[in-house]
Amino acid sequence: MSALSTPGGTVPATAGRGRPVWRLVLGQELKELWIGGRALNLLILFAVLMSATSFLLATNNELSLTPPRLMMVVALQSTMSFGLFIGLIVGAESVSGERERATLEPLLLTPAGRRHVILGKYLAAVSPWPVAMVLAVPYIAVLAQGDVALGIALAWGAVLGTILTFFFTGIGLLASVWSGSTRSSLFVSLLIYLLALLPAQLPGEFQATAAGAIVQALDPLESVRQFLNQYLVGGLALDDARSLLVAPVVALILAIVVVLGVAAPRLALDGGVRSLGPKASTDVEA
Amino acid sequence: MEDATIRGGRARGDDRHRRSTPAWWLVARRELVELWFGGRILLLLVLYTVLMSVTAILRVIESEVNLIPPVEMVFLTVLSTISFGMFIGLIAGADTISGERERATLEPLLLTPTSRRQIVFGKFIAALSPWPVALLLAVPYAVVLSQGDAALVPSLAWTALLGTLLAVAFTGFGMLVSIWSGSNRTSLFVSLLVYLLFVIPTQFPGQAQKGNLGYLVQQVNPMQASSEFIEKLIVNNRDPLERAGYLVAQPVFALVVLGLLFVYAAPRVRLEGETPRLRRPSRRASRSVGVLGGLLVLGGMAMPLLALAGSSAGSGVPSQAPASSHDVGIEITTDLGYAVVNNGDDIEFSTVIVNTGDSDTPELVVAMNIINLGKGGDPVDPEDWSPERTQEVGTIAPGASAEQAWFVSAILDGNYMIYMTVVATPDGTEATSHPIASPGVHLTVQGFARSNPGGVLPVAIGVPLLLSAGTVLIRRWWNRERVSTREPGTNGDPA
Repeated sequence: MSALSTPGGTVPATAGRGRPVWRLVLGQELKELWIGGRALNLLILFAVLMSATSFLLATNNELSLTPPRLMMVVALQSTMSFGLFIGLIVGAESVSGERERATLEPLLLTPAGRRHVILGKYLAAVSPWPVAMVLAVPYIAVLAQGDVALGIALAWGAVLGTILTFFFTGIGLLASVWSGSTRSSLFVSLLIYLLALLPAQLPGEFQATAAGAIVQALDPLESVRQFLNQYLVGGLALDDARSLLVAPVVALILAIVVVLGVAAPRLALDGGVRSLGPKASTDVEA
Repeated sequence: MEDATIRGGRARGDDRHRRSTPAWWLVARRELVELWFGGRILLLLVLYTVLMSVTAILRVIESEVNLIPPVEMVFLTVLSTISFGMFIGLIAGADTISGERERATLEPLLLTPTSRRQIVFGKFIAALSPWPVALLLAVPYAVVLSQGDAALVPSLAWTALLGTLLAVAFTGFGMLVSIWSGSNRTSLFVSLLVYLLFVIPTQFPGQAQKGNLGYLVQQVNPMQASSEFIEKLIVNNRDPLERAGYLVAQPVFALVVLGLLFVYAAPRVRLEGETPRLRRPSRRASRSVGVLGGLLVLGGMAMPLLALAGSSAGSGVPSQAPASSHDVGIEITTDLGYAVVNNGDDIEFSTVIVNTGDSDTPELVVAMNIINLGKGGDPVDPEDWSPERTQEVGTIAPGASAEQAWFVSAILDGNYMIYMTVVATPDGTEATSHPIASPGVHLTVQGFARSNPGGVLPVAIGVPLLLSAGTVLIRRWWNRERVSTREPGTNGDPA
């Protein structure tokens, strides 16, 4: 965001021809993220991981170990796990990175509303997800081997992946707003991501119990994993599997409300949780 | 480390006794004080014990309804301990040198007359210190969850051994990244990314981790290899020697990391972090590497074809006497005596059970078993080979017969014997029966792998290549744009 904050010095609440400030922030963030190469580097890593996963799955299919439907769902789950990871780390770096580079202060001194600043950064951090999803389509299509469920799997993958990406990017952004350094925000974000991956390690018997249901209800990533398995592979009716969608939707709403409603207006020059305190004094809403 | 530097120096100047203390110990001691009294490690350990407590309570609740046996609960506990030990070592290691750089305390440390290898060693010992504490903290959980099971002691012993190797390897890896990184952010990000790369394969479903490639991935990934080894040892009661292949990755990884850290990286610790620069290869060397790479790729692609050409898959029915039990009048025959197939092929055959006695047979069950005849071969897990290992037959009238169809996927190359066992249901709780084995189906599976399984190879190679090419083009274009905007008078000049 240095381009927005340093040369101009002041950024009006509505820029130029009435464009809202968040779009201006978004444009600058997108430019830095995509032209600067960070998003592309992460997407190359994503593609390499997807290639390795797909090759492993296809080899197993040759050995009659994994049916095409299951391969398709595993590839979809991998797409989500890797894709939301990109949003998470971009979000975790967005504000604390500005703090470390000393570019946050000029940005906060502009009359731009803090909520607009955060919204612009939020949308930019989410932007690699649709590209990751598009990149994943050929992998999933090849692994599906003509399975009739391909279309519906891709549709559900796009919807649920978007929900999860917004949630985890929100987590990264929150950690970034509240952390004094990128080290802390990255650490906290990745720790939460690892904790979200943990339930998949628990034995199958556990997943079927009441305690397993509680874990699924608390972990949107595990909830989505179970939904895709039970609905697309297990043949569970959508009405019966619908309860598994509650956790990700609630998590998404919570993340957006906390990021834009609580954390953004209290964005401070130095990190720290100020959720219970008053809004930052220099906040000027556009 | 400011105090360590100053006090360490003062100690060498003032105190004869302390003069004999090795510098690495002084560094380690100060690091330990900062690490433990600073509170960061204690905070992580508190988080760890909270997680262990919550999961232990959940596991005990489920165990009450007999869903999870005690050995499996112990396995999950020790697995969590190992994962956490690696994680905490990695975090502590990733902060060691780059953290000092950011706090501007590396320079005075490097100016002391202490060798850089001793500094790195002292920091390594300190960063490794949380692991034994994490292991000790896990012991009460494992003891309670084991419910007196004899597997407790071996599982803790193997956890101590493998966990220590992994903690050493990952702590060392974190330090390597820290030495080569300019900032803590980069160091932490790279370390945690690598940790994730090791964790992600464990997310794949069980089926996706079988077959030659799946087993290879399991054995190469030190985290997965440890998990598989301990699981087979304590949950499936396997002999440790059977799974020796899963004990290679951990010491190799630890040795490579330690060698790189202390032999190569430690003496080259610099004030500014920078990745080791490899000399640019000469054009001739590049060409040689290119040719070698090309030959390797071509060779890799040709191997499956050669394997296909050399294989002589086939099957047949040798003359054989049916297996029978004269006591109960049951005979079982197979329609296949042997088969020579390629890895990945499917084999179908059937068995026929005939009642040669004078009365109805009891309820019968037929079970399939597969034995690996190769020397030192892994035990075969039939559920990986066949979706249906047991078939219920019911009773058979005198002179009548029943036929069963079987389906086996040859997932690993080797020399195997497949046989069926007919088991008659005993008359009561105090009776038993005599299982009858069928003639064997001798299965020879030849190694074979398609270079393009399921047509996925073009996509697997093409997408990353296209993306990389796109990235290079975008960067070139961007660099050109930036240069043109800096030069006055050009079209891109904003002025």
